[in-house]
Amino acid sequence: MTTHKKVVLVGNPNVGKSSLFNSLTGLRQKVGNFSGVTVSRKSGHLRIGDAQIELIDLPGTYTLYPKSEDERIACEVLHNTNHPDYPDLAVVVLDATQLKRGLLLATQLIDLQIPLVLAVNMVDLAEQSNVHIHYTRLSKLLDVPVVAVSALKDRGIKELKQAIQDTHKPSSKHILSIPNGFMRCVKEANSLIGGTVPYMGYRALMDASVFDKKYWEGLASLQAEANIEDPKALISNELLVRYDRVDGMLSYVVEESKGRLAGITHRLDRILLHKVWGYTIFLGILLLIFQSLFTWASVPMDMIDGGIGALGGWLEGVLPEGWIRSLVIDGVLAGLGGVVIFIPQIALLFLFISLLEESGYMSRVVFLMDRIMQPFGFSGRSVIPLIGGMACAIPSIMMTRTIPNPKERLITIMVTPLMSCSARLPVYVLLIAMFVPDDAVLGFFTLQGLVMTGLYVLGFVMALLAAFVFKTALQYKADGIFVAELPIYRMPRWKNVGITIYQKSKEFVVEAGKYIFIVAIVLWFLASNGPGDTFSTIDKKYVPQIEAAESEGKKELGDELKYKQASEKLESSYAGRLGKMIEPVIKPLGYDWKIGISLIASFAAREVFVGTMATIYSLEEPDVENDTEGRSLLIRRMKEEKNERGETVYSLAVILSLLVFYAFAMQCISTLAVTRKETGSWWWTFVMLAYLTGLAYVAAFVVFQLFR
Amino acid sequence: MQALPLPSLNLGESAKIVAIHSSELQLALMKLGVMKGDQFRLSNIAPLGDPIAIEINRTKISIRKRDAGNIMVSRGGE
Repeated sequence: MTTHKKVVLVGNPNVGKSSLFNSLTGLRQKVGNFSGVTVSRKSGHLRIGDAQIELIDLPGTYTLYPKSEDERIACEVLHNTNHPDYPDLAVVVLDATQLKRGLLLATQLIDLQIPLVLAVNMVDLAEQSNVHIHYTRLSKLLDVPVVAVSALKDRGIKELKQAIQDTHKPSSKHILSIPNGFMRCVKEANSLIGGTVPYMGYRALMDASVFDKKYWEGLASLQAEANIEDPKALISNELLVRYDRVDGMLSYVVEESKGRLAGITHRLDRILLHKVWGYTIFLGILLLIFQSLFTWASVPMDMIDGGIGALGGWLEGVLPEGWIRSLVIDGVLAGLGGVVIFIPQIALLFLFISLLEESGYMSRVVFLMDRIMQPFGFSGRSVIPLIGGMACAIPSIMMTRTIPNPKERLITIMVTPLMSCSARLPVYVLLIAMFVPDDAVLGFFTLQGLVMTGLYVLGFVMALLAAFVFKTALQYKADGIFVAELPIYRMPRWKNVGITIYQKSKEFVVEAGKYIFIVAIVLWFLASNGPGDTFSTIDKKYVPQIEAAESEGKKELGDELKYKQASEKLESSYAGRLGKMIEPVIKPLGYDWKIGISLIASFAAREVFVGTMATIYSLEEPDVENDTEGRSLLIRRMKEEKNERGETVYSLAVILSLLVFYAFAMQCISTLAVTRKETGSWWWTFVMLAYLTGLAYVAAFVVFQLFR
Repeated sequence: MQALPLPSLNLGESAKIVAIHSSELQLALMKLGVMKGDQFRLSNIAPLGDPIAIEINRTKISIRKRDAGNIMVSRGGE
């Protein structure tokens, strides 16, 4: 007979809980959300003996009095017997070198009478630091099974599984003695919330927030009845008492030589936190990450492009001509391609971020940057997503989950898209090549490179300004308490890194994918269809000419005609008409309807700008970064373009205006989709779209008017 | 021994926490396992002077200078 058991993993942050979770479940895990909040819920399955275990990884928490949303969720699960995730058993994961801190949580769980198993993790590190733990003594003192594990070295996992299987009853010990004066109110609190254990009632009296809100009023009046005026002081006291008891136990359980921190951490910190070297190395690591991203990501990205192209070609041959074929190839396939193409960037960026976090270096980055970020409403924690935004805003916004303060997290999300992402590069390259000569300045720096850098700086400065505005609007004073641990440096656990990359990529494809897909189909429809029989008229005009050219062997002429046909079709399509319709709106920015079409098309994804421009100018889409010839051809065509007054359309003013527009505009459905997921709010997603579009419009307008 | 605010210490000095004058800070630190009576060493100061890091209980904790001003310590110890 199979029994089902619900087990949760609890513990302080940074104790290797995720490692342990991964060791126990492997890839048999999935990530979702706790209902109503944006906190991830990681759950997995494993089989021990004849029991099916559902394992849930709760967010790390230090005590059962939560400080952040993450911690709150963990506490809610543990305090409400009616909660769907209320466990049959809790595994408390402890850092062997930080037992005092970790055991505090354990004593609270013991008092809640939840059956426990203690997993003392990182025993290999403890051994290195000459810390010797008597596990059986600890187990006897707490009346709880204690298992020594090392998730890194895969030690103790079997014993842990055995303990999970064998443990059914809670500990018989009581750690906190509740003062007699409170007992009556504690009992009443318990009957109110349906608690069976004294500590549960006491806990409800001290802090009702983790219980169902329908109890809050009743608990508040009970708190007043018990004459509790300063619950914070009582909580502090409770923690002190617990620490005292734990200290007492530990003196009997742990033998350690009074040593200093592992020497490596000290020596590394001397360099990594150095006032000059610290920042230099950080900058170096950043450059390395970006360079790798541009170099390494492009390989799989090109492969994906090629694969999609090949698939499209095959489908073209297989499917009968008509709109279905066009829908499948130019709509569905293009949409899928638009989603999948991001995966290499997301994966690589998370690879680097994971490594930095796992090793412990990330906390040093936060330490170095905290003071600099404060005037803008950020803490050091926001540095990572902001910098990641220079590669791609999508994984960066996903990364903001580690920012504990919700206002700060929101500001970071709102502002990240202003950091010039890599999708803007093709646009920048094309436009810069149009007006900036390819001269070398100061050795290997080129004039073009400097202008490019200028654009990046512009984005960065605007991000800081926008952050300042949001901070004021949200009335956020970044003066909260900020304490953080700088853990001992350790080798990254590759399994964790791999699983993180897999999870995040999957999350993106599933979540953002659906929106990108829909928009791609809509855009396809707009660009591939024209009212009435406009398209068939165009076909009638071109098809005979093309066939004639091809039968005469004039392939080049045939190709040229094909591109002209595509261009005319685009012009008369719904998208083209939309472009013409918005012309009066974009004229003050110096744009004509052709640019308008490109703006509309690249609304979903910036890099589409180049392809659309090429189509409009009857060319094949050039790879602007690598194919200088194709790029020059497109540029020449664009420069030849004259408006009704005979002036060049692409004057310096127009180009600058376009550059500024692309620097600020929100042209990425994927980003919007991820923002919606991370903020859980359509309102803020809309705000992001509105303020960035407005900013782009105004800035482009100002620039155009200034330079014309 | 005189009690002085933490930021008055020099880099590398050891001291003991005597009092924490902010209940919010006290709670935040307690959750990291840091409390009154603990022995520590001022191990790092960020290049801009803020935040600072102390080596305590076999790990390092970073604290913003403003918050550290609320922690009273007495010099001495290992």
